[in-house]
Amino acid sequence: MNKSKRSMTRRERVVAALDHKEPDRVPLSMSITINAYDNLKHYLGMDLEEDLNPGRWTEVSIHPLVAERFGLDVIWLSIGKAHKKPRQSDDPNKWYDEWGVEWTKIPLINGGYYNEMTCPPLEDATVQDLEDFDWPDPFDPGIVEGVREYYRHIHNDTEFAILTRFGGAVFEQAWYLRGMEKFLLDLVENSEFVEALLAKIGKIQMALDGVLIEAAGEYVDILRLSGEDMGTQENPIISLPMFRRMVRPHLEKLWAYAKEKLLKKNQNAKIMLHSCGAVSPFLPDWIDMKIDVLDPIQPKAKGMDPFELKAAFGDKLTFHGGIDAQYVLPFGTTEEVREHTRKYIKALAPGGGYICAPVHNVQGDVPPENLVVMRDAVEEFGYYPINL
Amino acid sequence: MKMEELVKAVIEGNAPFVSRLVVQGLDEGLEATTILSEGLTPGMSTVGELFHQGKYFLPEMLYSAKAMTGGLEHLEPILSTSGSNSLATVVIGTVKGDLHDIGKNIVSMIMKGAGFNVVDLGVDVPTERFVEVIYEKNADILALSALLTTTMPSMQETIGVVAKSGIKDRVKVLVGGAPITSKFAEEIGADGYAEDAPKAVTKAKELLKLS
Repeated sequence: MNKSKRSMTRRERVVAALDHKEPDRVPLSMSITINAYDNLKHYLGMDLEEDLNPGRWTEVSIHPLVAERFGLDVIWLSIGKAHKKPRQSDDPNKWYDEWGVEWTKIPLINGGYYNEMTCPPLEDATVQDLEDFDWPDPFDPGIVEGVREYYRHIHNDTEFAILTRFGGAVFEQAWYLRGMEKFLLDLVENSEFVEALLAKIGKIQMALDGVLIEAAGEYVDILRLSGEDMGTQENPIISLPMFRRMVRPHLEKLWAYAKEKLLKKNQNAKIMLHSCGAVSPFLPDWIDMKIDVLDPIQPKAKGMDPFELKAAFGDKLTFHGGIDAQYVLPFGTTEEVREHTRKYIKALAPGGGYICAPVHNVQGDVPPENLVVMRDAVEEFGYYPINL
Repeated sequence: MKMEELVKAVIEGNAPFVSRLVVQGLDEGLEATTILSEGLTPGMSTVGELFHQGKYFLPEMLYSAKAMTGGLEHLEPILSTSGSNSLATVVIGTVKGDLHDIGKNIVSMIMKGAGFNVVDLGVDVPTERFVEVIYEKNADILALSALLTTTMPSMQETIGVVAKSGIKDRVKVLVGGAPITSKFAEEIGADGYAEDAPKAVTKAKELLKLS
């Protein structure tokens, strides 16, 4: 590591970037699946006993010692688990999440596993059924258990900036519950159901944001408003008018609440929206809805050119992500990873407002060598002034 | 029954009206193949164009596909007994290890609407199953889908098994899915790649020299 050029702590570096000021170096962030995490630790020669608790997407929290050794500036923290146990499955490969969605563990060809949703509980539901559904309880005491203490520890005893998700998605959670095809059809033919479902989910996510911000908001630097995916590889999933009519009111209420409450706890904190895919047509709306940070700037999705996005929205949005997970990280050569990272720094870093990160939870097919090349490229090209 | 009304009803996704018009057409003595090729197919073809123009998105395309499928259900019993009038037979599925099906389902529906006989094997399809069904149905096109980078190797494996079975020259392989590119398609020995469902139809016709 090029320590001689370092003049900021990890958190200071992130806070400056978020504030659209040039830090000493482009900050680095990363989320990772359990398979890739095991590979990375092994590669780094770190023999660490950890009680890993993978999330729905098999993502795990990176241990501060691993984050330090690897060179991350942002650490992703999780929240507590509800005391109320979700429904149990008789099949050892199946499990239910707190929303009642059935998931199945699918073995991957090259080892490890991934979780896939296999049964949406509200597929046949009516508006009336939504009243009787067994919704998760945002006030379950398990959700905040230990959160304040752990976040305070990371904040006080390490240099890392903290990124977390409290309440989750509304639009995306709706299709987890309904099934995607059914939900997309609902948007055209059953707007009453869509409205009722989004309202129900929004209320729960808002309560979750409320209790968790209350518990640990002052330690949070970036609050991720979850995986609200609104793009496919080629297009937005829904049209802008449909977004404005049916989805925006629910998100706007939730985001405004979360931001206001968070800023009361930490006036430097920012809210980040994660939305995969080709989503550039939505950006003016999201800026209008007071989003500070956009993740992940999916390189292979249409209309997501980093130079154009920076020119059009760089004064209003901080960009988080950029490092391609559909080709470069899993399949790219060392030179391709280095060049890709350089390109995103060149495009997005000038003037601050960029946190470099893989665009998705790093999957088990990504060689740890490529993650190290990405990190080294940030060290090589990421010091300000950016002159690439 | 006025054919232009059927075309319009498909474009608008008006399922009850599509069904009513198809039944009415059959009652009036129109051939099932005519109703398909002059009503449902042009309707879905326009939907595909609207999708490419950014006027329709997934919900609207699915809505039209659902209406078209409802109309097609009245025609299928007749089409299947009157011999093979379909353009060609497509065997489609999501590859082994991958459970994602929305993209594959849309391709499947739109191909049916374009007049193909579509045999949809679902998701997480074992490689050998594809080969069996290609034989059994005498398929012209094998269409493979994958969403995850971690399941892309299954696509390659499937094409390998098809090649080893000695039927690669009888069937054209079409691939698609979010991480798939034309370069990858070429590398793994696929005959074609399409980035979305309407283009999959165009590509399939091109490969079979039907366009």
